[in-house]
Amino acid sequence: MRAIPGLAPLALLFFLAGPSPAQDMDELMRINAIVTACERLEHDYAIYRDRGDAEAFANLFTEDGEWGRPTTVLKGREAIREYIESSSAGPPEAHLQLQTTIQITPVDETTATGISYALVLEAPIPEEGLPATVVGFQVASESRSTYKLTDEGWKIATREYTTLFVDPE
Amino acid sequence: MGMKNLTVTAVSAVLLASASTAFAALDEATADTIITACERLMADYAVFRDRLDADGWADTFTEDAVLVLGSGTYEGRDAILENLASRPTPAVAHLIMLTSVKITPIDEASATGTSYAIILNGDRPVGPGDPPIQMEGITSVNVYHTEFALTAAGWRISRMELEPVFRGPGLA
Repeated sequence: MRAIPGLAPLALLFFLAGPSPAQDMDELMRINAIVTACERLEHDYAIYRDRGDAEAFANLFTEDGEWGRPTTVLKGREAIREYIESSSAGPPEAHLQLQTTIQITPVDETTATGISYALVLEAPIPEEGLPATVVGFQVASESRSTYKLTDEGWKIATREYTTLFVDPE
Repeated sequence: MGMKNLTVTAVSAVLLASASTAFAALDEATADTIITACERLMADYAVFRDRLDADGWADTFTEDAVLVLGSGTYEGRDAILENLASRPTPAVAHLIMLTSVKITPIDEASATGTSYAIILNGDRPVGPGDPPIQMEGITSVNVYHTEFALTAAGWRISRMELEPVFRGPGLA
């Protein structure tokens, strides 16, 4: 996606104030395009993570993107890719990160912020194959992200999360 | 067919034609814009509620909105704001996890929606660095029946009614 021409500083007021009937439908559609692009990043994040697709997952971030883990912050695609590759090496597990509420807030034509919730289901894959058995969810978390429009389209610039609920087991 | 039946038929035909015209007047781009705006309102409703952001939450509603929750019916933005502003802070961990959100534009200024949400309701706040709450399952699953209206300030929720469908073993 390329930079949106015609979004002048006045447009910033629009982003901050929210839409009104008097505002041009084209402006609304441009804002919605940002929201949709960032929502897609959220869904890609979940699916590439679940598949252990380290390359695709790392490429969701900007080149210097930062991914905040509980004990450290991974900086740059290379570090993120290596982390996903290493974390996918264990015994086979069914892992689904169900993205639920996604709130995207456009800031200007090249920046947006977001809050998203995820419910994670995780269980060892039995010898006979899927389905795996679960009783409850594994983790429920809130992520806070910033997104930037780059030459490669919208990407995650920073992301951190807080785990709010866990399964006692 | 008597005169009365003819009249009823004619009036019905006119009403149907009017409804069809109103719906047909919404081109795909306009409908998509309305849908996205209302989907964003639902996300705002969830996140602002979870964070006890009373001003942000109340601003997702019209001035004369009606909110029907299990705890009662709240009429008007001020009553809705007070519902959240009166809760103790900091907020206990609470997630309205929206899943299916179906928005149906009616015309250029109104829409309806049906949304599903898994609710996780904790018993204490959880901030960054805090240990998570151990919970053996979800708290509940709700359906939100919503009406939306286009106002001078943009799209807003004009009516929302919560329908509790499942109760889980998680904290409430």
